[in-house]
Amino acid sequence: MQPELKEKIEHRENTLNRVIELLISGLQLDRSYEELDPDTPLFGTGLGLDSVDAVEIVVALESEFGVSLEEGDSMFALRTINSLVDVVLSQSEDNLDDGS
Amino acid sequence: MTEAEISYHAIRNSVAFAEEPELRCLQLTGSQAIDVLDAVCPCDIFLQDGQMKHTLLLDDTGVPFADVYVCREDENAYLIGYGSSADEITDWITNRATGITDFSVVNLGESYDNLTIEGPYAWELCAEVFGADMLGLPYLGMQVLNEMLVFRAGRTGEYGYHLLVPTDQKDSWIENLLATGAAFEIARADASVRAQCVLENFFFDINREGAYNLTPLELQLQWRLSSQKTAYPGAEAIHARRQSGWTHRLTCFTTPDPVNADAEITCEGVVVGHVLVAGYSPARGDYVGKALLRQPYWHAGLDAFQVGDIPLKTISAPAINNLSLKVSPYRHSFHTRAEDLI
Repeated sequence: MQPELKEKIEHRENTLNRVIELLISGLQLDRSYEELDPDTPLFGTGLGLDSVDAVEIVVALESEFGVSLEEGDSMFALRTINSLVDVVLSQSEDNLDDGS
Repeated sequence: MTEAEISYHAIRNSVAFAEEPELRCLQLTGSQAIDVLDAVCPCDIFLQDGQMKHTLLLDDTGVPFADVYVCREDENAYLIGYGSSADEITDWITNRATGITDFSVVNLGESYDNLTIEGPYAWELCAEVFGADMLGLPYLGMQVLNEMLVFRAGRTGEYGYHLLVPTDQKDSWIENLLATGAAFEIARADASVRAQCVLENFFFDINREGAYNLTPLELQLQWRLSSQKTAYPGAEAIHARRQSGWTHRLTCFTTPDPVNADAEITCEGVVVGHVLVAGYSPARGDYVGKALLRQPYWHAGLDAFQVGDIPLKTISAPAINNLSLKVSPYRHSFHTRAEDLI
């Protein structure tokens, strides 16, 4: 595997792991890490989280990753575990581009 | 627009209607109806009155043979979904409910017909046709409305309702739906269009990726299983697979050109997986699909793959942002959608 791809996969996997750990610890989910698939829906069906949990996630993302969700984006960003990872990776890339 | 385009547009932008005879609906009655559900389902059966839960029925190898919702209403339990026939599911339940005697299984398909209403404004049409009570029904909620059973669920990512109406009333309800629905630009949705919407939203399709003998671990459906329960059909196989680890995972992808099911996916010249299902996404303007990719290539957000000469990129599911996420029954209406700025 080319080093660039390997690095990209590892970065994705590390971020995914951190998001899952954040969900388990922050929301006291009764699930182990291995049981949380990346495309698991967060609300309604899936993990069945509610609006209080959504606030917890938004606060935790800001605290852990420095990520802020715009109100209009949050309904899409909070759909699945993977969509949270996308937001984290996207904003960290933006920060790199900004030199921040 | 073609009939398929009209159907798709209705599902994604207004209201669509389908009869869906392939939807199974079983009613479990008797003092032990809930115990039966608990014995055969891999999820926890802590259901409040009128609450539905999405789960699976698994064979002894842990492979799903039915994609079902379970529900409790008063003393009765319901099991609705897709996959094996109603008779096969009934026989399987009866054989698996060992030691449980006070229950019976009724195939509601013999006396009821299903009408599926889906779309960002399905709630508004249903309220007009069936009454304002429909507006209060939460997602994954069920209620009995006169002689009709209403299940609020769907697989297209839009507002969805399964209405079980007595067979002798079906034609008049359809007539009423289509007459009232004309103001909502209602269209009949055929099975292939609905299947494509299911694919766009990465919902499980028992007839497509469900045909590949994969367990909920590879299918990313572990949320349909209890994390505590140890006794259910298929539990030993699931436990064994968790212990040994699994090497492949269903992953959502996009391509700019069509790709075929079972096509090999390569990365840097090495085969890393296969396409299981794919099709055109009108909402995106490209092709979306589900691939079975091996570790560590099974992540979203990678654009290093190819199917022949066609580039393939993995993405987070679902592949589209549904209009229903923005539409609120409390603030919006199909008739004012232009002013609603959504």
